[in-house]
Amino acid sequence: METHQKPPNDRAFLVYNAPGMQSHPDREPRDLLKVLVRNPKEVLVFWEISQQSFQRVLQGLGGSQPQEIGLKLLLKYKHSQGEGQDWYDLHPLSNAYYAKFLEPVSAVRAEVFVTHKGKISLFMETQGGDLPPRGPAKLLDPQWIHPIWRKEGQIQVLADGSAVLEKTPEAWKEYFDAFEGSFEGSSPSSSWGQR
Amino acid sequence: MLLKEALRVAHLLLLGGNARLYHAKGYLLLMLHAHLPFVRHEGYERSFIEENWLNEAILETYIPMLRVFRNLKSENVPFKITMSFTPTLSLMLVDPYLQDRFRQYLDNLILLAQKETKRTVSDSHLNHLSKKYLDHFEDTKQVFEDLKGNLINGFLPFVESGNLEVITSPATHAFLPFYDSEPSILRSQLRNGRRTFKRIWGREPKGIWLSECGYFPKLEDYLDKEGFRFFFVDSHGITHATPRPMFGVYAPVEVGNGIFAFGRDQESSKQVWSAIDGYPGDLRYREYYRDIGHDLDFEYLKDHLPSSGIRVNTGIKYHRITGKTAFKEWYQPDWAMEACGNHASDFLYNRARQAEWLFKENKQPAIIVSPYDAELFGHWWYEGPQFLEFLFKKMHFDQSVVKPILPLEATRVLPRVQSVKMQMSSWGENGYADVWLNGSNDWIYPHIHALSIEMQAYAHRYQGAKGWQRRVLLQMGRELLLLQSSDWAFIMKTGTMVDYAVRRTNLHINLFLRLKNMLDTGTCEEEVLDGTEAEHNAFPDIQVEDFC
Repeated sequence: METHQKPPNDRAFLVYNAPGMQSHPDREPRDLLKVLVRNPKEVLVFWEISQQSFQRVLQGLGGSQPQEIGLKLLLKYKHSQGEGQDWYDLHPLSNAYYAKFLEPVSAVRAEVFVTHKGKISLFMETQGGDLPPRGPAKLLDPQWIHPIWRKEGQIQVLADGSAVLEKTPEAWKEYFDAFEGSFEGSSPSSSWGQR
Repeated sequence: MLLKEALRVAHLLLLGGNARLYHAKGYLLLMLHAHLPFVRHEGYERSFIEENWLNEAILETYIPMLRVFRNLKSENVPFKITMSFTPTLSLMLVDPYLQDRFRQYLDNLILLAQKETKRTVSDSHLNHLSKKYLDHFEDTKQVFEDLKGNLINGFLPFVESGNLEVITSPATHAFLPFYDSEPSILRSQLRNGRRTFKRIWGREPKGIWLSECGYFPKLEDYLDKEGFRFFFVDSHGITHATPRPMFGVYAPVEVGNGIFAFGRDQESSKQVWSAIDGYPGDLRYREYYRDIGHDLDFEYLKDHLPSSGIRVNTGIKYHRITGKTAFKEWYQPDWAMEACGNHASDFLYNRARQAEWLFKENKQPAIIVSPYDAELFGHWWYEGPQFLEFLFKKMHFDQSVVKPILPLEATRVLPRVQSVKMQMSSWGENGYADVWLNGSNDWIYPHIHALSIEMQAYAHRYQGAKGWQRRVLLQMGRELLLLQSSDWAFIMKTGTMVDYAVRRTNLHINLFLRLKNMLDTGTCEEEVLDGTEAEHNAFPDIQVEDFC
């Protein structure tokens, strides 16, 4: 242990008694763009722009006043039919956006653009992840095909030799196909949330 | 068909599955996740009631669980149970200051229970209950002192006898799917999770409980580097994998690098978790929400309440659930024990029925994974530890369809394990990240990501630093880990104790920035550094390289 502890009564600095330590942090923003996957239909994109970068972009676009600047968010992704993209016009002071998708998408990419009087400039981009699927996969491993799937004739072999399961046998649904998503998972560990 | 079956038996034996294991049609993998965030507040005149989270869990869950294990062992019942002890919890269980706080907490309860035996003398039933509480508290004190305050020493004999498998979690229970783009967060969480566990438990953890069962693709690469061989996910983590797993959640899957994932069985989960028809809601069980700390006169209680004078749960509760009414009847321990036995029988009956059906369908034993928060047993569900004791006894004495099993045994008892690719999932509400990412808590993530990037840069810049600069850097790492705890976001979402979660979040960020400023200015604020190290003394063996 590389800490150098003094007895509690000798400590001149107690973190909860120190002024300002529990206040909302006043932190210099840095250039940052992230995509967090929330669920199969939604991601949170958030960003920060450092003061220096903001000034550089402002000057690059020929602007002089911060309020002249606009923001646009572009999300690119893959879906079942190919590739897609969505543009979002954002408030200049915004720093996050929950983006929703109507169908499962993958390889989500986010790009933040700065606009000024009709000019647009890419400011930041990032690679996001895949949104999780909304149900069981149809694709089967040919080495792992359950006899009941064959017996009930639910297997379809595709041209490339791969196998897909068209429908889960009814008797199996209780045990194999269900996700109700309503257990409320983690319970609080102590008196949290009580009274 | 007979030849095929004979070959399968031979295969199992070759794989190390012994005959006794094979004779079961299903195996119950009971997994209890024990976790508390780091709530240690030494040196304050007014105590922090959050420290009671640990005291309550020791009194109502961890020591009762030890009693169950001891009882089972003394009756030669071959129980098998897997428990995760998170690094923050393990750290607190061996912390001398917190051990003393538990002694004070318990001594206070013993005094209160003694007072209760006098107050209730005119009511024979209440008097009987108050004496039971007094006995319980005094016995708890005996158990605690026999172990010299270190509960780890109480659990270790069961680890060594093969009845208990203990595993770890990420260092501060961070929700890892949010950090898939920041490898330094993943590394520092996993490394400190493993290192802390090894130092305290004296052994390498074979598996890990991913905080909130949060998984994302490629996590197995990081788990492999830290030597973890298995983890757990919610049901859809397995059932939504590609290609589709042949046995659903009833067999572990391999997700890459020889790492196994176990999926939660919904039926057994529901029987215990369900708020509507779960066992803990039985009308005969003890009512959690009626506690003398809130029911009795303040003047009578005031010497037993925290220094802040606010009413808290004392753990002395005299009512049973009764029904969905404000009126509650007195708790009848015999009725509760009867319910507990019935519920253990029902749980086992359903597992046996489930195992038989699955065996018929799959031609191999089912691995039924039942994970729960450990604190459900005893703290929330007072009779929960007794339920577990009944369950293991009945499993051993009353039937042979279902047997208990540990995770790596489960991979050996099956003829082979399917390899799949899984997608992101968690065990929270709706099965993904909604609980830890919403309007109540999303403000914390830009801070966590920004500070983590700063930490990585400073870890590189000051990698060879010595003296106070190294101490500052390591403390920045501790503050960052404590900031990343999923508990703060969870509490903000649940809407109670939010103030504490917000204060903790702000505090760790502000301390990080203050420490960083020392490096930026080349000035050591000795008192600040001393005080912060003393108060947030988690992860004493943290390394600068964890963040590189």
